[in-house]
Amino acid sequence: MNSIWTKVKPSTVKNDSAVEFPTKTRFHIALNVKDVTELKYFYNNLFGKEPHTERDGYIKYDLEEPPLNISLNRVQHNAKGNGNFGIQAKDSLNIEKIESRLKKEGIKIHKLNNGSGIKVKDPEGNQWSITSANG
Amino acid sequence: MTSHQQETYRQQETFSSNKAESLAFPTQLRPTVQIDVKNLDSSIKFYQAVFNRPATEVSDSNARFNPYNPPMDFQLIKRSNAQQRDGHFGIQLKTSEDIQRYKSRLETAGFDVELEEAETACCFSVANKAWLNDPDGNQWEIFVVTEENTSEVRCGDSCACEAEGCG
Repeated sequence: MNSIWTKVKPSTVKNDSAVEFPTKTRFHIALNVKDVTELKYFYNNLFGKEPHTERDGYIKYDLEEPPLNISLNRVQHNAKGNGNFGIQAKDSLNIEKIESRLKKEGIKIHKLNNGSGIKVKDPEGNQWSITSANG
Repeated sequence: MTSHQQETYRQQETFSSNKAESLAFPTQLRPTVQIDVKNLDSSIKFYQAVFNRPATEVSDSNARFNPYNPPMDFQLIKRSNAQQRDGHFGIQLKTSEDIQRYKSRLETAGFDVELEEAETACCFSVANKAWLNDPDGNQWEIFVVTEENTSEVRCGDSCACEAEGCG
C-alpha cells in the first residue's frame, strides 16, 4: 500500500509509548459528557468491547478496529452532545455485526436512505454513523 | 496556501487519484468525524499541516481528509454559525521525538503550539503532549502515553484537561 509515510525517515529514538497498538498512529476523541455510566452501555455495544480504563467519571476505550483511543470525561459544566462521528467499514459484514449488536440491546437504529449503513445516537445526543468505506 | 505549497504537498502523493487515496487505509474499520468550521480555507490550511497531506476532496462547502496515519476520514463542513466543540481531538503517537516533527511542521505552516507538556499526569496516566487549536478553537493534542493507568490522580496541576472542567 502506497503511503507518504513510507518515505518518512524512521525515528532514531525508540518507541517510548506504554501502550501498544498495530497502526503507526491513532486518532483520539475526548468527549465531554454528563453521565459516564449511562453512556458506557451504549459504547460497549457500539465497539463490542469493555472500556480499557474505568474510573469514577472517566472511561477510555483503546481500540484497534477502528484504530481509536476514545475517552468519556464527566465535566462539571453542561456538556452538550454535538459530535458527528462514525465508523467506516471495508466489509459490509462488519456493519451488520455492529448493527445486530446494537439492535439486540434495543438501541434505536436509523437505516440510511442510500443503503450505505446506519445511524445511531448516544444517550447524550452524539451521532454515530456506521457506513461503507466505499461511499 | 500558495500554489507552490500546494505543489509540495501534491508531490508527496503516490496515489493514482484522490478517490484511490481516500479509500486506502490499513485496518478493516476506520473512525470518521465531521466538524463545522467558519472559514473553510484557513481550516484546510491547518488540517493539511496536521495530517501532512492535501485534502482528498474540496468543494465550496466542504473538505475531506483521509490520512493513512492516523487512519481516519475527517470532514470539514462550512457553516457560518460553527462553534468550538466541547471536548477535544488528538493523535496518539508511539515516539515522543515525533511530537517535535508535528510541532515543527505546524509551526512552519504558521500554526503555533499553544502548550507543551512533559511527563504530565493526565487521565490516570502520564503523557508527553503538544496542544494546538484549529482556527475555530477546536483543541488537538499530539501525544505519547509514557505510563498507563499508573496514577489514581485524574489530572495533575499542569494538565490542560483541567481547564475543561474535568472531575
